[in-house]
Amino acid sequence: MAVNPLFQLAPQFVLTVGRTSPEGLKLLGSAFFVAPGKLATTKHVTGADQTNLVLVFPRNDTLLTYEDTSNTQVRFIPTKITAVDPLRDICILEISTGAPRYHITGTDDVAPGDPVVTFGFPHSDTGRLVLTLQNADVGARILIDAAGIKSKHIVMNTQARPGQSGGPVFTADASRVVAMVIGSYAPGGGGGISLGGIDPATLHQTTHAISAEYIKGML
Amino acid sequence: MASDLDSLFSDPDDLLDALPAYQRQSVDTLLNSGKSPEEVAQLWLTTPGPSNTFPFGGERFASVFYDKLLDELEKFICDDKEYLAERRELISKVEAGKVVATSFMTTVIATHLGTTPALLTPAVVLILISVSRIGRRAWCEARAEVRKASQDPSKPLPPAEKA
Repeated sequence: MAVNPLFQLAPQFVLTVGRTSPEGLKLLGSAFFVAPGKLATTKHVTGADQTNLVLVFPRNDTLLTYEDTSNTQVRFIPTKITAVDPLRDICILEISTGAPRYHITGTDDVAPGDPVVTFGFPHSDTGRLVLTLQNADVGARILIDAAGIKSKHIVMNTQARPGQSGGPVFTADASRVVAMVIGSYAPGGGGGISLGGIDPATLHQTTHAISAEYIKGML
Repeated sequence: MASDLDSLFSDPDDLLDALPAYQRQSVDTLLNSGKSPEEVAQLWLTTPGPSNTFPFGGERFASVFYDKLLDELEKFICDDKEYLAERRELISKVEAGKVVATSFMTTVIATHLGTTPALLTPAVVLILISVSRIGRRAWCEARAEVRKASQDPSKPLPPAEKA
């Protein structure tokens, strides 16, 4: 089946967040355009610290091009944080270029059973820079509490990995972004056991994404 | 000189006008639930996002941040020499309004703490409201006592800081 024409162009609207240091560039997570010159990611990706924060552009213009994983050359530009909501784990970044070619709506637009499409950079914590499309279904609509503030989320029937936080969740027809990936279900927030750098509590197909309606309110 | 700052602490609820709507809504909800401004400030800076969720990003939250903010605010509004120049500038901005003054103070402190004003503003506003209710001098004295007590573990913390 052919990839939707808009999804083919995902490298032009889904970027990687990184931080530069004397040791090099550390990749932190995903981000996507939500308004002209503005991108959304999660607060935990940036740590709300804009010191040496950059946006890294994918090396290819379309998803159809084979990604050369041995290529370590990247192009990045500095960015700054314009809005943060730590309770909903959302962060808005600003640069001088780019704009979305889709609408930002919310999780009211999708129901359990509906197909959705996500983009992100799984395993970017290990330096891997491969923009990856994942098909999933909405498994549930849930409210998640943070310090007494409840927010709309969807559960997606897919497994996510570090680097995918901040990735957009599209409707299958590519017309709308309804949510943003924030992580996976883990009782107590995980962090109990680590095997080879992986928390076994996160190895399941229960990925959480927060409704994009909260992003709109921050622009 | 710090007494010139006192107009910043009159009608403290006006300070909430410094917050954008998306932050104001959450802060109002938490305050209306019965939490104190200091409690809400602490929640704002220490809550690691939605509960029972493992984040798939590159950095984890630093929980010592709230205490550092209190330290910097104390230096700023309690006559510490470290912020002498910035305090002079703040006094000149108080006349322009509380939103401008709060924004300036937040930007200065955010730079010291290595974070963004966008995160810090609600916490600064809420702590300033708390200072207003206690009184700036009383708050500064309580903070000084806390520091002394922390240097001498045999002394209990003053009641105002336990709340």
